[in-house]
Amino acid sequence: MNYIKYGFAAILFCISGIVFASDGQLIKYPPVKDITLPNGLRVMLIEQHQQQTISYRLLVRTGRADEPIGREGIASLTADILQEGTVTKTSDQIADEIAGIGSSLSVSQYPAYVVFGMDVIKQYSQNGLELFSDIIINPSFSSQGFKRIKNKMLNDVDLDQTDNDTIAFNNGRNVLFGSENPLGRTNTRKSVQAVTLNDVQDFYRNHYCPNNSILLVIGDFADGQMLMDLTMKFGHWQPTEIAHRFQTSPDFSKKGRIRIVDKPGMTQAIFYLNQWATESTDSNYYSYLVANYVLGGSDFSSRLVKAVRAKGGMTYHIGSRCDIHSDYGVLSISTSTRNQELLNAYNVIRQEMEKLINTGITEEELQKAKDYISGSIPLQLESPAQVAGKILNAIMQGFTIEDLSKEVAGFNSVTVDDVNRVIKEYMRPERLNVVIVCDVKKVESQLTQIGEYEKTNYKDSPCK
Amino acid sequence: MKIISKLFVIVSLFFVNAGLSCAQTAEKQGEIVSYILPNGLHILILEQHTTPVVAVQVWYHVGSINEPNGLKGIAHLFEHMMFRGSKNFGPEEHFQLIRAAGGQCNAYTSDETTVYHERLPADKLDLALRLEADRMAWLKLDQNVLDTERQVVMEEYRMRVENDPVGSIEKDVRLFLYPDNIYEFGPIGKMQDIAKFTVEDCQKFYGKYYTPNNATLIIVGDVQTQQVIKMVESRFGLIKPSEISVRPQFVSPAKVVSAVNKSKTDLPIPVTLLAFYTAGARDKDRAALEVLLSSLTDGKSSRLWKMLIKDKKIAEYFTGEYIEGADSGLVVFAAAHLPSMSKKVEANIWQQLEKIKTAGLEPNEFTKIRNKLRAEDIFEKYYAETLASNIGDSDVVRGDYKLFYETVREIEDVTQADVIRVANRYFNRDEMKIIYFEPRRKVFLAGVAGFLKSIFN
Repeated sequence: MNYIKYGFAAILFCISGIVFASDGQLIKYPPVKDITLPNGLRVMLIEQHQQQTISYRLLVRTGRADEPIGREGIASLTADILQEGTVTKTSDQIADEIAGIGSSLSVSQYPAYVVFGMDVIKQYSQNGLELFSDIIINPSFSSQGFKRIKNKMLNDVDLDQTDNDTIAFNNGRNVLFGSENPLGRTNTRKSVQAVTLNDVQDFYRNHYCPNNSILLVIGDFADGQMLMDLTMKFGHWQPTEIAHRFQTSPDFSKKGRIRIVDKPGMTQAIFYLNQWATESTDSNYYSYLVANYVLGGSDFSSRLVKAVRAKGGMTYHIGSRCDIHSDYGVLSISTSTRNQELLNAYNVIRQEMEKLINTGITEEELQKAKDYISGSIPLQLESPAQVAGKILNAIMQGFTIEDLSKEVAGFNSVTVDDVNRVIKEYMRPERLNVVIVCDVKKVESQLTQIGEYEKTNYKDSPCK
Repeated sequence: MKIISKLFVIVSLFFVNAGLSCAQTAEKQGEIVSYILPNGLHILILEQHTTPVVAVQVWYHVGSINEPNGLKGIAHLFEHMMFRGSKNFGPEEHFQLIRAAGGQCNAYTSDETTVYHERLPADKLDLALRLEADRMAWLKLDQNVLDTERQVVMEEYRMRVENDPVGSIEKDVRLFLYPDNIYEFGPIGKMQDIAKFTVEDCQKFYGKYYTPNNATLIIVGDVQTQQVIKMVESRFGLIKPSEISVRPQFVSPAKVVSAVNKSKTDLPIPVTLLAFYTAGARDKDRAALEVLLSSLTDGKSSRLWKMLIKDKKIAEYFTGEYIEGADSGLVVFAAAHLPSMSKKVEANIWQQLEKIKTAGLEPNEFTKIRNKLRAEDIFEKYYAETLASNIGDSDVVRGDYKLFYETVREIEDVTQADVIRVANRYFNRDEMKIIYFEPRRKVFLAGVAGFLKSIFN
């Protein structure tokens, strides 16, 4: 095959199509050609011929986690400026050419990585690849584009102060990660103003490099030809030494804090609670996900929804979610309730957590969780874009595709005892950080019953 | 602009009843099979064997436009009640059973329809049908559940309207554009009405609208049509139809005249919103209007984004939306901008509109929208749920499921003359509605910057 002659290390997963083994334990992903180019770029090629489409995804391991203190916003600014022109094309040309082939460029930003995506019909695969690679590798860093994006980010800072969920989330991150960790910090007018075009260029040079990236292509192509095309476009991308990243080290011994964010005029209180969870590389990973499923991760099958919404009528939405990374994990619970029910809602959430610790989950709850997880896999893999997203996310969590194929088996091996042990070890109410955005004047008497709290204003930076 | 787009996602829920034919025989058109049960339930089935997934949607032809005065919000509250138990299933069991099967389900209420949807492994289709049929036939309604769900819906109102500046803008826009009209309050309703709904109100609403002859059932996925028809007959066949009254129609004023409204917002910068009424989804000019609006508002390649945001820097955010019901629609251009810039925003939008009214579009603008539609047509085939939604939209909103296959062709057929005619038909200054939203809290520096920009730009 053509790629062999380039002498690349190739790892092949020789499986065909996404299918379940007869016992439902093993999910067979389509064959993945997993190659590393000499410049360090990992290339993953997946042929799928259902429709005449091709999806390009480039993951770069950079995000908020890499932002220097005082330059919050730089990761986002750098990702956004790439569409503002290349050395050979203006931003208008790029926008018109992408639209001209019926496509669009997506930029999905996560705390530790960013994914650029372009989906094209086969007829325009070459045009798409040309544009996609040009945008990633040859940005012009136009000063006009920089000014415009920066101005938009400054406006976004103001707009974020009108979005109650964002206020709660930003404060919650700060309480958990702390102000020394980039993940605990938020864009402010000052930090965005401080970012210069030179800063952005440096950030790009230090993080946007082939040895810090994964290029995944999935769709209707022949892998040999595609590899040649990709090598032509990305082979000359120069590697560099990757900048050091702040390491997040969860402190499980730390007691939870309560932060009240005053926002006058509100008729609801917005809750955001969080605490450290297990990481994806931990042996408790699957047990922890089941615990979250039972607590608040399964809509009306979850205990929190039953207690706070279905029985209590205290909220429209409540749920818990896990953001599990290879080096740390976060459990969060979010909800909103009318001012009068603030204390009740808080107490019910605490009680449900305590009940979970004291009496554990049941066999029936475990079985339902397993049934959902095994049944939902086909729904997660309907399109090439979904397959790509699932694979890239798994890689960022430290899994291989082989691990991914054993996902259902991993859940099925979990026992009630495993889950209950993990709940006792991790889901401790005393470690729960609590952020409540509310009109303090209207709910002060309830707040005093919650415990000792620090108070801030919604206009203040969460990390001041 | 995330925050402005959100406004129109909420506003954009306009759908309407399709006239059901009385034909009783299965009819094949392309791959969609249309079948009508003797009780009037219209079934549309599309086999799609790419992944073992099925999407099930029940479109009830009822929405907030059916609500009489005093019951504003009951269609939406009733959507919640549909998950609170029926003869054979307990409260929330619908959600729980679908989830335990590995699936997802939910519902939404719009001005003109209420849609319940499930997405689940294909071999679990019968579970979804059983659950949908049970609540269509035997929903349980009692005071305790109603009282709890009323509180939940009031929380939703607080979340979406009272504590969200964008939701609050939507409320004001509706009040201004549709006074004393069926679209005035939208699905979220009125807080004072929600507080007063009774079990009897709900029972009456259910008996009148939640019947097989007032619904369309859409099934798309890895299924066998003949088996599906048998399953549907067995689950829904015995449910009795009801007498359906004539649906309320949008009554446009005899002569639309331009009007200006000023309102307040909690957003930090002013918003200027220009609105134009259109004829809706069943009008012959729909495709031409889509081409025209795509060139004006679709992404960073569009005329208005380039002009307002990038080149002239008059606005900070811009969005343009087309919101359509069956027989009425609305084009909205909205820009958030520095103080003192509203007139410039308005003038620049008009400059582009006037240009198109005389010269039409550039050839590459036709190419962009055609290629976009072609690509969408292929990519949506991956998603059973998207296909089901598009079939539902074609049938219920546009009036015929066969239009599902026509989207690309309709756009291909649009000519320059069509675009010019449609621009002249809809975009007239003496029919334009404008709403200015001024921030409640004024920011001094932003005011100065806006003033200077308005002079020098």
